[in-house]
Amino acid sequence: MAQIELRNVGLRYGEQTVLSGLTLNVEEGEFLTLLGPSGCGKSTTLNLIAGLLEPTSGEVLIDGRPMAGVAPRDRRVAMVFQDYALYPHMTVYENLSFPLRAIKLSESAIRDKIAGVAQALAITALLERLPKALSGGQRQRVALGRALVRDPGVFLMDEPLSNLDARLRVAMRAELKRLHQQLCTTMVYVTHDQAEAMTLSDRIAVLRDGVLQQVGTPREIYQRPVNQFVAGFIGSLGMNFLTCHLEQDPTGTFLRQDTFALRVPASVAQRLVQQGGDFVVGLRPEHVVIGEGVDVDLRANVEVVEYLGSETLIHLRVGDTVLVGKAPAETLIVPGQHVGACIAHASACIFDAANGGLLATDTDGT
Amino acid sequence: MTITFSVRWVKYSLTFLVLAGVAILMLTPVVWILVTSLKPEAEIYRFPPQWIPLQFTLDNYKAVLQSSMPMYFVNSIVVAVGTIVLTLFIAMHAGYAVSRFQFRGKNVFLFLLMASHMMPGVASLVPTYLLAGKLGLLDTYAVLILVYSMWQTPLVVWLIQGFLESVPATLDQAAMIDGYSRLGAFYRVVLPLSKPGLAASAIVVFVYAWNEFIMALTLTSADNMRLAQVGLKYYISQYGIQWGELAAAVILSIVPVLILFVLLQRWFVYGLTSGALKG
Amino acid sequence: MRAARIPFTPYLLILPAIVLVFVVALYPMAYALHLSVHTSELMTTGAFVGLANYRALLSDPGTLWSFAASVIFVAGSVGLAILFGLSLALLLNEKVRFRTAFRASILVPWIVSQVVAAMVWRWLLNADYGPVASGLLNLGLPRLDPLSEPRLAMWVLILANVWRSVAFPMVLLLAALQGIPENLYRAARVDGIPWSMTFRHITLPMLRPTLLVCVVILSLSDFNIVALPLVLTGGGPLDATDLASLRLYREAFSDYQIGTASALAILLFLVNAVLTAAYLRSMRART
Ligand SMILES: Nc1ncnc2c1ncn2[C@@H]1O[C@H](COP(=O)(O)OP(=O)(O)OP(=O)(O)O)[C@@H](O)[C@H]1O
Ligand SMILES: [Mg+2]
Repeated sequence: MAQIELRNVGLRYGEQTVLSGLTLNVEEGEFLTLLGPSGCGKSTTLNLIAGLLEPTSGEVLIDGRPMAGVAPRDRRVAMVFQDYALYPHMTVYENLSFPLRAIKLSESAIRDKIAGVAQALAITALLERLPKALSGGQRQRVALGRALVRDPGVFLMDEPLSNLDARLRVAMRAELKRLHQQLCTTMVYVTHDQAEAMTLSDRIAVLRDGVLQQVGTPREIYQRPVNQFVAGFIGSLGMNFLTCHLEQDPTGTFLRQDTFALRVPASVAQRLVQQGGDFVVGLRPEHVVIGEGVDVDLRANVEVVEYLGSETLIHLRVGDTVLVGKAPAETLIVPGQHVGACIAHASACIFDAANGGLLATDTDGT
Repeated sequence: MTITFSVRWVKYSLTFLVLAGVAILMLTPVVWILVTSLKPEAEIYRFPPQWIPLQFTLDNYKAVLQSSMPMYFVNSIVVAVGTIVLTLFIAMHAGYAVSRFQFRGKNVFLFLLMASHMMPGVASLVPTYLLAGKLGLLDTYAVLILVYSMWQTPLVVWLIQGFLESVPATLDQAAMIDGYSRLGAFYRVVLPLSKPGLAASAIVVFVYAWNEFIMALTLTSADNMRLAQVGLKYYISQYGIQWGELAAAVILSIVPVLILFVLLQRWFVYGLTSGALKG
Repeated sequence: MRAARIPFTPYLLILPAIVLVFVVALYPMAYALHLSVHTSELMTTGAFVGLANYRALLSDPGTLWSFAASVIFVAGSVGLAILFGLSLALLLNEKVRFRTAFRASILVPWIVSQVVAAMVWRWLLNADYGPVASGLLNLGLPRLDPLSEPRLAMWVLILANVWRSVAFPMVLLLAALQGIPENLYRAARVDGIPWSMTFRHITLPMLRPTLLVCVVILSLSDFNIVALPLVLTGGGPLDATDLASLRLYREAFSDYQIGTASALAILLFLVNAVLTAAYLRSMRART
């Protein structure tokens, strides 16, 4: 088990800046996920920790030791690559024994160790095969096995599930989680799939264009995203954003666009008035409940209806934006209909329209 | 319908006939030498000549095998193998550097390689000879191996580099994480996966070293250091032209390359042309 | 800021190649330059004489002729090799029975050494016992020894050279032909365009870069050829096939004129440099 610290790490290729000012701690035994869109520098960060790349500025520490100049093999890290990087000319057994041979383990110790890992991952029957004779899921297990045999201090995983089909991915996700609970090894996991990040992680670090946006537990990131980018990236459907202007009338302060209006508590209102300008209200689809009732906040036309089985998504036209809300699966709403929607005020986020930064979440009144 | 068919048929037959004719013509000179090598002396100097010997004999081959030619063949093999080893060793490391690293001066290096490959062999003949003489390297395997390796290294760097680049870089990275050094990863993972490239390179180098003449002629003079091609040339002057024996020697000298060619035609063609296609 | 660590690994890896190329290629060239401006006395370097060696060379009609002979030889060889190579490639691009066997037999002369090629042709054309002489007699033509006819010798040399080198452009052009998208031809056929026009407006333009590469590479190797003319004609008869490359060899190793031979080497080097530059340009055009 090990603890990792990135201090103000930057990486440039010539003119191009890939990472800048990345500061991040990974605690012992923690499962930390690096999340971000393609090309944001996730693999790069992982490679910096592994020692496959050296930072152009800042430093990487493992267990408090600066890692500059320390070769990958001396860092006690194991890595699972996105393409698995199984050695095509070696059988599964040889692939698994490769890291053990590097440390000159005795042949019998190697055999025992591999037998144990193979059993745990249910690949015992595959040991004599070449990687090209394996299915994607089997390859993934072998790659995992090759990382496991080494008893590393840190597991680095670069999108290990991205080449699997959807069903297998969900199954392996649970298996990874179980594995981590069993081993309690520090784990840095890279993905661009927010669902994986949410389900697996102790904490998530969201990256964008090489800049760290937010680090926090899945709950923190989901409920209090620091900016519109994070808010839009997290959650399976992303967040609805409505650009609103501030309106004050005797009944209170509102953020309004077209027929949409969000009442702002007095404590928040004061700050918004001071700040001035436009604001963006962020609402997750599950906080826009479609249906008739006493406390309808909004009425709008239905544009699209998406039936998901467990529920139905309704796209509403509000001014020049589309607001996605949810209705029960058995709803009879059809496109063109004029419907009411109930908004969970307490869960709305308010962002600065100028820079996308979070100004307030309605609940805490800060 | 019948007309299109017959037009196509005529075109097909013409193509076939022309190709067959050319193929035969291209082989004729070699076949003629082969035929000659199997004729007894009297028949060789008969006019008009016979394409099918009236009497087959292996006497010419026996005579060649009792001459110095076998020794020249051994010399050629030693030099060819030495050149293959040295060239591949140097070129695979350089190729790995070029395929896996970005470094200052990389383009200059590649340009120099290309330029030196294009440098005329004849133009460096005189200075190479004089330098080898000064260093006391004339009549050694070493000088031939060095000079041949130099001529082949650029080509083989390009050739091998293509194969190295087809091995995903994540494999080296995986090996480095699995506990190996950069070079360890190269030797244990990347090289085994580039075997076809090494084979193609070895063939190219072998054919070159086996067939090269002018450097071998100038850099060696002692009889026991002579290479096969030089030996063939001297066969003419040494014994007067014994066409029968010479023909047998020529055939024997073609055999190793021909065997390689028949067995590994694909790599052969790939290796010998790819130098021209890489930039 | 910490100083960036210099990644020495790649330099270590290319070091042997650099040493070899510098010591065995570039240094001798520099040495040749040095020799070319000094006198030579039987393999030892004498006094500095400036450009005297060059002047002597260029005022010798023999040298001038040898450059002309080289030009004739290169132009003839390259022209014919490209012409035949292209024709054969076009034929081999058709789906014909025994295609691989035909291709293989055309490749055989290519793997044979220049010495062997020279001997094979000498014996084939032998005026006393050769099949060519007998064939000509059968046709009622006079007995002919082409290697003793100054005008024919050059053609024999070119022919033998084309024989051994035609496979190279053929293989490259065949690969290039197979790389032309089939759709281009389908479109042309649908539009009813005749073969000659398809060839001129589709095939040739698509082959142009490869043709260029073939021309340059063949020119380079033909321009520097020594073994074939040395063994086949020895530069004769009457200097008819005394190519510049061959002359350089004889100047140095028959006449021991190291100074003038080096000057000639430098001149050859310059021609090569021009051809190489052309090659690099044609490569750039390809990509
Ligand atoms: N050798 C290189 N030279 C220049 N730029 C590079 C190099 N390697 C990576 N990059 C750039 O660095 C950025 C980050 O790359 P990285 O591989 O870390 O992305 P990623 O977040 O892992 O993306 P993905 O999800 O697609 O794997 C990309 O924009 C990429 O183009
Ligand atoms: Mg990546």
